This record gives sequence, structure tokens and C-alpha cells, in this order.
Amino acid sequence: MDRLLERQFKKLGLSENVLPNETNWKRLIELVSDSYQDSDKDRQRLEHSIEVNSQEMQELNEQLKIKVKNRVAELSQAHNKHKAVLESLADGVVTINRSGVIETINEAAEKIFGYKREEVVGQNVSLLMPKEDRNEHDTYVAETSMKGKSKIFHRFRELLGRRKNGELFPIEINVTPFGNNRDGFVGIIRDITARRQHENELLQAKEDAESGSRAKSKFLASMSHELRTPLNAILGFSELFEYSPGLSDKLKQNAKEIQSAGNHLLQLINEILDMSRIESGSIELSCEAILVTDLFEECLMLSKSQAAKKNITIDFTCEDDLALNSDYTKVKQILLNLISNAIKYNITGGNVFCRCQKESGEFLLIEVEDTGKGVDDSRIAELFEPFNRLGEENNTVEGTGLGLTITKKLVQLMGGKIGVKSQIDKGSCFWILLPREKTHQNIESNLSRSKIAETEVKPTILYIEDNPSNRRLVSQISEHDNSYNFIFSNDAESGIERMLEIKPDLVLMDIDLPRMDGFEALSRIKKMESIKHIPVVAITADIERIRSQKNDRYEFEMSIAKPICIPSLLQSISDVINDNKMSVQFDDADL
Amino acid sequence: MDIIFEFLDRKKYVILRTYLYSVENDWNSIPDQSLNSNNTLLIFFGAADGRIIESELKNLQRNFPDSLMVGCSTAGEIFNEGLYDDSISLAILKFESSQIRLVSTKIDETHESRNAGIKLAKELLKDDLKAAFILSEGLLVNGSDLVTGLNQVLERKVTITGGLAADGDRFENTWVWNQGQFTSGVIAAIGFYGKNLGFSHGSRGGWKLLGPDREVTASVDNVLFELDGKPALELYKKHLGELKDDLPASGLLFPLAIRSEREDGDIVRTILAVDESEQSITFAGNVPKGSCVRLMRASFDHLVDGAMSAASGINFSEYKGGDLLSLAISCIGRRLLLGQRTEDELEVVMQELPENCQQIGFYSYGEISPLASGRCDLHNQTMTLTLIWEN
Repeated sequence: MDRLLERQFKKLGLSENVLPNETNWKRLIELVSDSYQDSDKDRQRLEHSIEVNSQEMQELNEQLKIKVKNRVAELSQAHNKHKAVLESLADGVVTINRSGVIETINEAAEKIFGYKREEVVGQNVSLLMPKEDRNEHDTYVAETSMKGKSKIFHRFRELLGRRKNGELFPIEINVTPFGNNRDGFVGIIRDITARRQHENELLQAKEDAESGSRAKSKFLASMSHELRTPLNAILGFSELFEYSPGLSDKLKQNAKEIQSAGNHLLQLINEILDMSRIESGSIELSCEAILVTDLFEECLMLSKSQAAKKNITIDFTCEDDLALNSDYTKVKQILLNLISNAIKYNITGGNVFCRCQKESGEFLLIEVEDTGKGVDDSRIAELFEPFNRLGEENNTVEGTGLGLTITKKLVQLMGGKIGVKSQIDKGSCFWILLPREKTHQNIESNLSRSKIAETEVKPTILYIEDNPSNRRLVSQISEHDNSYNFIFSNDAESGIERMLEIKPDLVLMDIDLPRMDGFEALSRIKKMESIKHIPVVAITADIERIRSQKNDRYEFEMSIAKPICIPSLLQSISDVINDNKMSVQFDDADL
Repeated sequence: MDIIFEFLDRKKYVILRTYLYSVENDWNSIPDQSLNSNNTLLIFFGAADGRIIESELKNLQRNFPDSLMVGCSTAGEIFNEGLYDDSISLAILKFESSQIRLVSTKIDETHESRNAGIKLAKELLKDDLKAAFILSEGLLVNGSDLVTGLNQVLERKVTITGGLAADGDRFENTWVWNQGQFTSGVIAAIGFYGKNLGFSHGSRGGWKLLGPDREVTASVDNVLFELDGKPALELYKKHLGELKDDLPASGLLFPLAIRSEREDGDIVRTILAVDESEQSITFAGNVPKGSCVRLMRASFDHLVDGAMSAASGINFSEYKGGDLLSLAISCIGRRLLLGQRTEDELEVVMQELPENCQQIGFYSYGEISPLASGRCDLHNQTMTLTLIWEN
């Protein structure tokens, strides 16, 4: 029996066995009728609800259809816009699926590769690559799709592409994955044939320029050698007049003029050579710790006679223990130039003030101030231009117009700065900033480098030289200075024979000798047991060449630059002979 | 020896007696005054028209002077598997070792609901508070806010169940019996304390979703104005067809499911009132603006199956025997739909519960019970069962 019917029976005290009386029967019919009506109502309600619902669903469906239609229209509009952008790009755009099959290609890519769209869509992208790259690419695409990572994404790489006609050409390509599951890859491709060509042209131009510059340097070096050789003779012989007794004062004065003009020419040649070296970048710095007081002591000593001529006093003030980290020779060149200028362009009886102090940071400030006529502010920049002497070329003051240019370049090379403050009729103050040496313990004083020891026995010097005027020059020195015995050879072979014969104390060797040059002669000498200990000093117009040979097995004891300066030649000879004597004594003591 | 142990053992259990009074048939048996103690709770559900039962209630209060007595108006009283009107369904619980406490608060405005929840919870809160049973007036109180206030203090550590008092299908006036008299605007809360107290619950609706998702485009708290930009009342009327003249009661046939992404699933909301001038519908709990809702429907079978699963899902793992009370709170909407078949759902519940279980309860305007997550919430259109025993 239905649960409800059972309950209805129960409420009236009825069961299958207890039949209803009249009242109960009517009540039962009411209850049953009510429950039927309830069920009907329930069914009607649900039916109505389904009807309303279905109507609502229909309306929603209509709305949805309209929405979809609008959305499709919007999407299509957006798609057309994107397509227009894609087709107007100058770069090629190619999309591929995970298997490497081309899905889309834009107009630029069609042009780059020479294919029509329908020829490549559906084909493997390796069609656009050199044949030898194809297998590798297929493997790569497969692996990347699996791993989902790649180092090639999101950056431009340069590769080779292959046009329809088989031509290989350079491309720049950027690959990016797209889709949530890396459904494919988009490649942005740029044909860089023209750019490559341009780069090659630039490279060629650069090489041409460099080779031109090398040729210029070589020309300058050889020219300076060619110029210096005759100049050597001119200066040397004119200097000898000073030692010639009985020569009239007028002739001596003439000789001095020759010397002065020759020196000017020599300085000019040297400075042009310096300029060309700096410009070609062939100057190398050999940095060391330099005590500023040492440096100035030497510079002031060298400038003393020049200052004395104009009755100029030079003051030097410096904080204790200051040291530079720089190339000694080059810094000396800079300071000498500045001091020399301060003297040259000063008034007679004027002052030069040299100062050195610590500057903030890692620099030392060096100032050279004069009491000359000063430079107008507007012309200060011109000071450092080559051959620009601000009108001084018309005055009696000698100069090449290259000194400050070289000085500035040297300072810059050392990582420093140079500048000038000037006041008309009061004077100029040139300042330089150079890197400071921070650890200045036990810096050896450079001045103790040259001390001449007394020689007891008259040493023998062999001079091997093919140029007769140079030979004559040196032979005439010996006539005025009795300290040495000079003997001569005019080529390397005969020179070596003489060495074996007389065992000289020192050999002066010209480098540019006929048949066998100085280097070869040196290596032969060093192989001969009986003469290998004899010091050999090179005399050459091409000091750079000697320096460049430094790494060879054998080295010259010393190199002296042509044209020969007599006092410095004598000094060098004395240095080498004394050094050698000491080392020989040392060897003896060991024995 | 066995007998002594059994006696001692039995002493630990609560003593439970249930009684039914009807205007027609008087008490089914006289309530046992010997159960009066300061650890005794009288809990009852009575006719919405309180006047017809007032003298009986006052008698009870007199006869159980030391006991706590609480009850509320209904849309039908439940006594075991039977449904009654114009009656009192009473349970007397004399606890052996557990303690009980009754607190109450009164509100004058709906917006005070949340603070009322906080106040009650604070008054109940003691270390060994195990569960709380709430009986609230059913029209002025915003049930959702009340529960939010309770949760704020009690968190998930205390099980909270209960219901909102009802006024038949009239939605006019509900009452809560408090301190020996009918009160309006009152919320009463019973706190159960002690480790021996057993307290379990189950709650199910059985409703099915109907029609498309709709967005709440205009609402304030529990007052709904628009769905998908159209007046919500219009939509309800369309679905009700001829039944629209019976609003708000007929609106209960189409509850609203508030869709949730959370583990707790959907929340069901039922209609309390309609306002033709504002074209608005007031629900028994909040319907937040922006939330996604769907109409619901049910057949007799759906609801009966729902009630059965509410009972079969109850956890009795801690129940070791002894007297067992089931407080059944079912929604007025279910009664309206089930009609004469309402007792079907009461019968299946009793069939599912342990044999010695006694049941009282009522048809309500809202049910309170924890969700799957343990967080308590207000429900509508459910059969919510609260089981009480003592170990």
C-alpha cells in the first residue's frame, strides 16, 4: 500500500481488515481526493515551470545567437586588422605547427624567400633552409615541442635561409612559441643580405684605413731614419768645432748656428715621430712607481741652463713622499715640455713655480706656472692644436708647435687630464692630473742610476759602421777625449774578425749594415765562446726596431739613438764599461 | 555485580521524555515533574497562535520551576513521525553530567542581527562549550547576519544548529518563549557544556536546479531587486503562473540557489516576503549582489530523499547508547510542497535514526547548521536534524 494511503487509513483508524463507517468513508474520500489534487497541482506546477523554462531557454538561445553573431563579426574585424598589420610588415612572419609544418606566411616572407603562399603552406619549414640544416631542424622542433623549453626563443639569431631559386642568403630570425600548450612557433625573419654587404664594405674600408695608417707610420719611421743619418753627421761635425783649437770665434759662432738649426730640425723630426707613434697607438707605457721629488730634481737639472739664459728662477714645492704610477720617460717628457714652455714664454728674470699635491680620488695634481704674458681665454683651446703657436712663430722663440699636442696625448694615454688657467700679463698655469701610486714604500731613487766609476786602464772600443761620416765623427771624438782607444770596421764580418783578434772592452754596432745586419752579427758573437762576454751597444736611427727585438734570444747591452749626441755617447760608454767591470770582478770573486 | 555496573553506567545518561499536547486531545501523558532540576531543559515547539496554548505553557513553567524552558512558534509541530498543528511538541531533558545555559537577546531592527549573534556567543563562551542550539524569531532577524556574528566568536570549534521561528504560511508574527512569556524580536541560545555531551547533526534539501544561471544585479542584504537586470518578482510570478496570487507562500516552491565555488557547495535561500511597490523579494538570508543564482525545483520524491539522506548522513560514532533526542527542523517550503505527503519525510527520517530515538521538531522559516567545512551557516528549504545524547 502507498505510504500516504496507509497513513490516511491509519488516521481514520482503518486498515485492510477494518472497514470505514459512513463518516470515515466520507473523510477518507476527502483525504484521498485532496492528495490527488495535490499531485495534480504538483504536476501542473512542474509542467508550467517546464513551459516557462523552455520559453526562457529559447529566448536565451536567441540572445546567445545574436551575441555569437556579433562576436564573430568583432573577431573577424580584429582578424582583418591583424592580418593587415601582418601583411604590411617589412619583416617576414612565418608560423609553423608543432611538427614544423608551415601554417601561415606573410607577404614580406613570400618576397624574401621567393615562394607563393600556396607553395609553402602545408610544407615543412625546412624548405626555407639550407639542405644540410634540415635534419637538425626537424629534431630540434620535435625536442622543443616535448620539453617546451629552448634557449633560442625570444632573441634574434643569424642563420642562412634558402630562396626558391636555391640561393642561400643571410637572415636574422626570432622564434617565439605561441598557444598555451606551445601549439606552434612564430618566426620573425629579416633578410640581412644588404646589411651584410654594407658591413663588409665598412670592414674593408676600415682595413684600408688601417693599412694606410700603417703605411704612413712606416713611411714616417723610415723617413726619420733617412733624415737623421745625414743630420747625425751635420750635428756631430758642427759640435766638433767647439773642441777645435785655433778656430775663429766667428766660425765657432757659425758652427753654433748650424748646431742650433740642426737641433731644431732633430726635435721636429722626433716630435713628428712621437705624434705618428701616438696616433698609430704603437706607444706602450711601462708603468712603475716614481717619486715626484726625484722626477722634478732631474727635470729641473735638465732645465737649469735654459732657465739661466733668461735669468729665470724655478721654485718647486711638493708634499712629502708623493709618488706617481706612470712611465718614467714619458712623464719626464711631459714635465720637461711644460717647464721648457714656462721658460721660453716667460719674461726675462721671471719665475717658474712647480707644485705637486694630492688631488681627491686617485690622482696627483702637478702645476707649472709662469710669469709670462698669458693666453687669452678664448684661445686656450688652440694651445693644444698641432702646429698652432698662437702667433709665436713670428717671434724669436724657437718651437715646433707640437710640444703641447704631444703632451696632451701622452697625458691622456696615461689616463690623466691636462688643462691651463691663464691671465693676460700675469702668466699661465698648466696643470696635469696623473694617477697616484698608493703603495710608495721603498721606492728606489732613480737618480742613483748613473754614476761614473773611475777607469784605470784605457779601454778599447770597436765601432762597426758602414757610414764613413759617422766613423769619422767618432774617430774625431777620440782625438779630444783620451779615455778610450777607438778602432773601426765597416761591416759585420770584418768586425767579428777584429773582435776575435783584439778582444775589445766594448763594441759599438750599427744595425743597418750591408750583407749581415747588427742583429745577426750579435747572435754570431754570442755563440763564440771567446768573445760572447764582450758588451755590444747598438747605434741606430731606429730605436723602435731594437725595442721590438727585445724578446729575441740575444739582447744588446744598450741602444743609442742616432744622430749621436757626443756627451750622451760618452756617458753610455762609461756606464757599460763600468757595469761590465763590476760583473767581471764579481765572477772572479766567485772563482 | 553486573546490575550495579549497569546502574552506574545508566546514571551517566541523560533522561529524556517527549510529550505531545493538542487542543483537541490534551497531553498524550502528563509531563513528569520529578524531572525538574536546575540541570533540566524543557524545549518545545508550539502553535503560531500562542493564545491557544498559553495556559499550558504557563503551567509547565510553574511545574518545572528550576528548569530552563525555551520554545518557539512554528509552521507545523513535529512529534516523532507525525505532523501537527495547534499543538505543543515538548522534550524534557534532564542531564546527568553535562551543563546547560540559556541566554537571550532582543533586537528592534534587522541590522542589529550580527551584533546580536556576537553578544549571544560571548555570553555562552566558556572553555568546555561543546555546542549551541539557537531559536530565533523568524521575520525581523537576518539569519545570515546572526550566524556571521555567532561564527565570529565561536569559530569552528563549537557546533551550532537551530532554526528560525515560523508563523504558519502567513509570515506575519513569530514568537520565542523566553523567561516564562511570549516575546517578539528575541533570539534565544542554549549552550551545552561538558565532555560527556553528545551532539551531532545532518542537513539536506533535495532540491534540483532549474533553468539558467542568473546574476544578482541589484540587492541589499537579504532583499533582492533584480536578476539579470530584470525585476526578480516578475520572474517569480512568471514561474508561479496561477500560484502567483498565493505569494509569498507560493514563492517557497521555487527557492534560489546561490552558487558557490567553495567546497561547501550551493546555499539555498527561500522567500520570506514580497514588496509589490518595490518589486522586491525578501529572503531568509543574504543574496549578495554579483553572485550567481539559479532557481530550484523539487518533486515529492526529491524532498523525501533529501530528508532521508540528512538522517543517514549523521555521525553516530560517539553515540554509546542511552536516551537520544532528535530535534527536526524542516522548512515551511517543504511542507507547502509536500502537502499531505509531509509526514513521508518525517517517517523516512525516523526509519533512518536509531530505534530508541525520540523526535520533536517544527517547520521553520530557516535552519542553522554547519556546512561541510565546519563553518556554520543559515539554510533554507532543508531538513536539518540535531541529535543530543549524553555518554
